[in-house]
Amino acid sequence: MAIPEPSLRIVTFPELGQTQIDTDVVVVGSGAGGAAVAAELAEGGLKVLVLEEGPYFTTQDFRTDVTNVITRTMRDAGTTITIGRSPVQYLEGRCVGGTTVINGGMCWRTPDKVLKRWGMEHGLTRLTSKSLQPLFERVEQRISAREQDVGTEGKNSLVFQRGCEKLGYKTVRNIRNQVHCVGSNDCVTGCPTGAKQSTAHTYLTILCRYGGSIVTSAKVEKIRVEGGKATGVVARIQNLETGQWDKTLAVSAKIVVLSCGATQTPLLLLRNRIGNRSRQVGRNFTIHPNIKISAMFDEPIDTMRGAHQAFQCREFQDEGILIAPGGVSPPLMSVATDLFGAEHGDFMLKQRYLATGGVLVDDFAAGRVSLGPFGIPLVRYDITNADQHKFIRGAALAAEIYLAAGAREVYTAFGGVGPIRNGDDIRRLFLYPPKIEHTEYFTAHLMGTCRMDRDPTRGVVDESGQSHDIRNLFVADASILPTPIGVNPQETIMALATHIAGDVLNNWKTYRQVAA
Amino acid sequence: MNTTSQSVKTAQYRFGRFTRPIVLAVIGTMKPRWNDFDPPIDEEVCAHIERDFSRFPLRAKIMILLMFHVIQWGGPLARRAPVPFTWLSPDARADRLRGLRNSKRQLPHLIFKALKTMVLIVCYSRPSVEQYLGLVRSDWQMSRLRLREQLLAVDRKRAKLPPTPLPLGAADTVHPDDILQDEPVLLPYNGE
Ligand SMILES: Cc1cc2nc3c(=O)[nH]c(=O)nc-3n(C[C@H](O)[C@H](O)[C@H](O)COP(=O)(O)OP(=O)(O)OC[C@H]3O[C@@H](n4cnc5c(N)ncnc54)[C@H](O)[C@@H]3O)c2cc1C
Ligand code: SF4
Repeated sequence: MAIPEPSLRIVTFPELGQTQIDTDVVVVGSGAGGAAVAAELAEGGLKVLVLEEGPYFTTQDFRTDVTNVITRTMRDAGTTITIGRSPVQYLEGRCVGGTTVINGGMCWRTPDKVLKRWGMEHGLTRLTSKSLQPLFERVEQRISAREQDVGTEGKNSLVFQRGCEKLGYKTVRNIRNQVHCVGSNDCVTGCPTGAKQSTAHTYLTILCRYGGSIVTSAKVEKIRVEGGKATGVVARIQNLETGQWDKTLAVSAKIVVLSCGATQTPLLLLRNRIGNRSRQVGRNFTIHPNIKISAMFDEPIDTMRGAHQAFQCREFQDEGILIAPGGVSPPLMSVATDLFGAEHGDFMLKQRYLATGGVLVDDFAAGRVSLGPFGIPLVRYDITNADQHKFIRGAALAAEIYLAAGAREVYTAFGGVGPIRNGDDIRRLFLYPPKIEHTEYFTAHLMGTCRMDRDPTRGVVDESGQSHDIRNLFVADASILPTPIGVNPQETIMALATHIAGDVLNNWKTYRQVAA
Repeated sequence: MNTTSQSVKTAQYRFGRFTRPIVLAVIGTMKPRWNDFDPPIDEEVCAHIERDFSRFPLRAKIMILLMFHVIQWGGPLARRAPVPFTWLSPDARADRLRGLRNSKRQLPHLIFKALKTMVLIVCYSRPSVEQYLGLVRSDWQMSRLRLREQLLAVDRKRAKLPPTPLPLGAADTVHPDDILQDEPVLLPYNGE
């Protein structure tokens, strides 16, 4: 019996054979936001076409070496990095399913206090915990968000939980979009067992069930605007045989939805010089940055065996600090240390005993996505001293957790800081605070660059996700989140996309009249 | 409905005759080795880096090529060491890389990190290295796949279960053993 692949209607250019298509709605991007909005609109009876820049990969494609997956499924082959005070490496999916194909699968509802802040600071009074509750439930049902099968957590998560329990720190069992996750711990390089329910397995199959299609290797470059309303898009199509982007596809639509993600949606708007009367496009870029922590135990941990992350420590959420285990496969773990050669060989011999995790902090300030000279995308982000204080406290807490769990030594992402073996070493982190320039950061949660705000001078889209400047142009992806949310964002993005789809369906007559 | 995977054909890149020796020297210095096993993987790793490199955007390609030449000529140009990297003895090469790693300035440190990431991930994906460490990833993946196939097959057999997953909170958390009561479990969980 083979693992079933999702049933999708995927079209490439040769099959398409057309250079002009008419549809009700064109959605650009098939990740968390795009797939959700597309499926909901198709189910609501509209004719929906999704254009996706990347190609389609099956479960089998993820049973290969790590860099083969990274360089094929990720934007810029996984070489993306911010510029600014200490560069931050970030990853974005560029394939059918977007970043949901390479994410960890954690699913959390937007915290109540975040929604209250959106109401107070951004006038988003319709987005309350109560009004979003049915949407969260709907999303969770559609992507099979559920607890891990007991027994598949893996030691990497269990030792972390043990440390938290000893210290009395509150942990939560992760809710993940998976069906019988068997703990192969390859989430960030694509699930090789088909357990993770990315949008390719979920929303996009719903889209296709209701008559929608996905055109792959279609990079939208132009948004057509006539008389203050969006009328369609123009995409360049890649020839899979030659790799050349040598064909053009024009799509006319009554509604255009941009769901290209937090870096690409603002870049598309900026390149088209539209939707930016507020001058907020590309600003308010937050990244929920994180640093890695690892700990050496006397017992085997075998991070390769077990779920990517089965628990989170929520004790310090009010301080904007999230601590969690995070397992990766041995090739990815090999970069957790600055050793090389024979010393690295020794390190990896001991890697069976190494637990890995991370500290995520709510950002204090914001960066910016903009266009540089010759239209080069610039993704700028400066880690602030306030963030660094939180990182130091978070690393100290993580070290405390691992030591309480029985670790012999804890290693941090702070250059020049030796192994942490006891309370004195932990205190030394505060006495001699590690510098931002000597710290290695990473991020997986980009957001905020086309923020939603009721006031057209402060936000790019309104509470329905529609551009304040251009009618029938919507944004439904991570870029509309007005503030950092402190938890993994995919469920929030999907819930907002569902909310936007609901508004479109409720007001379809108006939008159709505007388009006519 | 189409469910076949797609992949874009890219021309395989080969490092030129000036760059290739530098890349091989970096691989030779950085690759893991043990007293009883010095994996002969330099060419293999280089070929994989070339494959990955051909998929990088132009910007990254230029940076990486520059990086290798900074390693090669950085010493003589900075008048620290008069000899290019490839002419150095293995120990001296390791010293030069350590110099980058321990540098207080950010750029040399970043160069070290980029090289390390590019070389080590590929090294630890090589079958001979996986075998030596007893961490054969493809075997683990296949065993997980077979286990999941079993779980799904039993799910299907259980008439009571709806064909699609239950919504959150609608069912108690399941233990694979509950499902696989009459079926053999291929491999235990939690790595025991
Ligand atoms: C390693 C990693 C782990 C993560 N783990 C988690 C987790 O456990 N839980 C969680 O909640 N979140 C996680 N995230 C984050 C989460 O996956 C993203 O926040 C989310 O997928 C973003 O959704 P999106 O719709 O904004 O963009 P994406 O999902 O990135 O989708 C955007 C899509 O648009 C396409 N596109 C872009 N430009 C164009 C164009 N011009 N034309 C056509 N198509 C275009 C892209 O190719 C892409 O497929 C993780 C992210 C990473 C990188
Ligand atoms: S841990 Fe493995 S099986 Fe589970 S979702 Fe991640 S990649 Fe898939």
